[in-house]
Amino acid sequence: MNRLLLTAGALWLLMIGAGTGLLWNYASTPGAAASTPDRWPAASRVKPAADRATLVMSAHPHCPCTRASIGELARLMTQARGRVTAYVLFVEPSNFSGEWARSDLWASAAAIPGVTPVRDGGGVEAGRFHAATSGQTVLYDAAGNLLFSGGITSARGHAGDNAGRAAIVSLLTAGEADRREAPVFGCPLFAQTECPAGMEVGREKNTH
Amino acid sequence: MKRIPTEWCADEPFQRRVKDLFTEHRQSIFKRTDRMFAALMVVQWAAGIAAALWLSPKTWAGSYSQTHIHVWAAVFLGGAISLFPVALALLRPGAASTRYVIATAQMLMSSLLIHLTGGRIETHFHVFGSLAFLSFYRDWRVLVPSTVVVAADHFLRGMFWPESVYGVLAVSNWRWLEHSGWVLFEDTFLVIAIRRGMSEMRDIATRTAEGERLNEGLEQRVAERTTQLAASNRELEKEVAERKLIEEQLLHNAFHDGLTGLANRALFMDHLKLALGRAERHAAYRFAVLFLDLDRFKVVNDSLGHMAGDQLLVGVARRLGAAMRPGDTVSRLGGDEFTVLLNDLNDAEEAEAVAARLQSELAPAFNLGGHEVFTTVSIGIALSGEDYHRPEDILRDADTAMYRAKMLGKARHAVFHQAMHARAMDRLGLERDMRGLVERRELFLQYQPIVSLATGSVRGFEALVRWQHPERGLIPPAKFIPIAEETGMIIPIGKWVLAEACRQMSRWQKLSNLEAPLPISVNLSGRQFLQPDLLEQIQEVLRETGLDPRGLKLEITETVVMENIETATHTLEQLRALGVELSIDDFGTGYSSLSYLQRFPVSTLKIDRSFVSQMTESDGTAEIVRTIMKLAQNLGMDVVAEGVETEGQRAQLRDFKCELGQGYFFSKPMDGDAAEALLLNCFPHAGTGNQVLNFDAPPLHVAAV
Repeated sequence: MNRLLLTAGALWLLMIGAGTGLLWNYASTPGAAASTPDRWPAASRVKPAADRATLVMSAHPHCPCTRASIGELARLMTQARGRVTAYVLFVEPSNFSGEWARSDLWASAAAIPGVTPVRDGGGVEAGRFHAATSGQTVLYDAAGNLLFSGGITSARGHAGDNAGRAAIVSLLTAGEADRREAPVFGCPLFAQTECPAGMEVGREKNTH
Repeated sequence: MKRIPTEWCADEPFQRRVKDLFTEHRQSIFKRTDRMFAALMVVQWAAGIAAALWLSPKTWAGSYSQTHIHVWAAVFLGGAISLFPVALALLRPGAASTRYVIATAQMLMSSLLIHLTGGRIETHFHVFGSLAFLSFYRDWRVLVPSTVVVAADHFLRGMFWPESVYGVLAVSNWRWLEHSGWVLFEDTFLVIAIRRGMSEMRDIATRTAEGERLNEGLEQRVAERTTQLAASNRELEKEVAERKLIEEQLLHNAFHDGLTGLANRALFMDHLKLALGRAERHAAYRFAVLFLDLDRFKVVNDSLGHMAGDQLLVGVARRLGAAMRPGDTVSRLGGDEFTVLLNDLNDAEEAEAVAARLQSELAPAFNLGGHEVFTTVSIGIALSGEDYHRPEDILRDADTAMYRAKMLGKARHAVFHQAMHARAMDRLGLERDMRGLVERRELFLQYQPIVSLATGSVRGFEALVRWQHPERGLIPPAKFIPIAEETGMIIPIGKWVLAEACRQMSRWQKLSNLEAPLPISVNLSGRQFLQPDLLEQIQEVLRETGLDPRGLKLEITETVVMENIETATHTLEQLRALGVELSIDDFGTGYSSLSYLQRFPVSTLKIDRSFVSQMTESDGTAEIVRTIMKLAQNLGMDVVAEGVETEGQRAQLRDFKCELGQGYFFSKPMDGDAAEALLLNCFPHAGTGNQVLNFDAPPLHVAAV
């Protein structure tokens, strides 16, 4: 009986271990990395701040993983203490009505002081920043130079301290950071058939 | 609180009992908590699925979506985590392995929930809540696997993926210790609380064992007392049952005959009373009372003993009971008397038919200890009527009818009618008047001469008693002697007759001065003959009267002698030794044993008048008389023919060489004076021999009387 129990327990743990592995694998696999422009895109309709850095996060309005990114943005804005102006571009596919983008994430983003949610019809603005994964965050200084590009969560939908947020906070407060890139964990902003013109969506291995 | 006696602490059985109670209590807690966790795990599994559906229902790619992996993880991984411990809780409740698996699963579930909720700090409270819940087991060891799971999780993830735990790529191991330390911090308090709880459980077990020990003596006493009470109760029940049985037996005995089991007089009278009441209410209702009396019961009792007599009564009762209808009542009044109450009769013939049937039922032989005994029964029948209001009256009349049946020859039945009652009343009156009969001098003797058939000479007298009733007049002996026999009055009457006859004969002998005493015959009844002081009585009478014993001839019926052969032989020999003559009276009507007859010291046989009266008309009877004569001659006895009434009879008797006779042909019985005159007339010359009387013609000697 004890042997049977031990065997069953071992199998049980093995099964749970396998399931956990799959789950972790999903959570820790980053989305497609973006080749963000080094200069603020001139065609962007989003107006960068002249006296401070500007942060732009591209987000899928219904991606559950982006809830963690919005949460981390809220912490970031608290830690940056007015040193940055932030926009969250809620990408809305062209075939959807205007209300599709106004999800709970929109409301969460709008509630963060210093953050302006922007409806991005057809993902045009996101495309200008070459964002492909929800949660893709870019930081430009007041001169329009790219300071950081990447995600601000440690895993898909996982709240908590992470390297991306720490780097942005460091850039805003200390002017430097140990890294200027971080993997992005979130849902793809576009399906293969929905990519804006000139934009190519693909996955890249996250490199620190 | 009462302290445990010190000696109990070193008492190994006591300590073992404490341990057993403690273990039982813990085991009970383990099982209860297993069930609670089983329910909790099912609930939190469902809650995990709900949380995944709420927080991450879908994953998106542009405008396309699909079910989020969190939902599948909540369903399948959550299910895998939960169902195995739930199964163990149901299949192996209370087992240590079940607790450890539950503790492990609970931590794994916490980890899954934290992941599904995006690692929110609030969800981490699930870990601490789970640890608190696990303390319900009151077993600090279950905290070990849970703590190990948490520590291992953080250690491994901190080692290989520090960002997922600490949010930074490179961290110090102190963070791992910090995380594990908080868990251990809670574990410390939980372990302390658990140990306190266990200590209290030990106290409870100790107090319980103490209570048990204190109660042991009490319980033992209660058990002993209960056993005693149960035994007393059984005894009491037995006594009650016996008493009830006795009461029932007494009640039965009060209304039933102890020997036969039939109804007794009381019950019979009660039924009879009911029957009378019913007859008064319903004119058409008729019933009858049958009064039964066994005819020869005394013979059975005397010959085979009382045990046999009882067997006969039981046998009779059985046959009577079997022969009767269910609604009728059969009872034994006492002795050999039985009564039957016949209900719902149509007419008197029906009662007579029942009586006849009963007689036929009793006709077959009874086997009494190897002896076949036949008995007959005389039955009196009294039918219900308007005259009866008391049960005693109808029973009395049935009894009267029974006596009538007896008188008519026994082994028959008789239906009561008023004439019987009159006779019975008459008889009762005679019985009453018979008391003091001798003292009132209402008796007197008559004397009938016994004469020689050959010579006509007087050869003696037979004394015959008569009752001169002051109101009824002369009452014949045939009427009052049987009553005297039954009532026992025959004893004083017989004594008086004996004394008076002897006195008279003594006087006559003195007057006649005969050389050879002329005998006077006196009848002795059966009762007289069986008196133990008979010899002394006769001696006294002879002495008082001065009669020569040869002048007294005692007549005894052959039945009396034959019924008591040994006693009779002895008594007869003693009487003969006195010089008294002995005679067998009414010879031929009873039953005799010829072998005994020749042994008896009897000098005379008296042929019964019934033979003499029919002798001239019946050759058979004549032959009987001749045979008796031969028998007497061969045995050397004299023969006296009774009831000689005609010359033909005398002549025939003479032909048979019968020497003596008596009867109306010679003389009717006469009073003492007439007899004395006859005697003096016949013996004018005393001492010269017997005088011959001329009895050639009856008117002659009647005139002489």
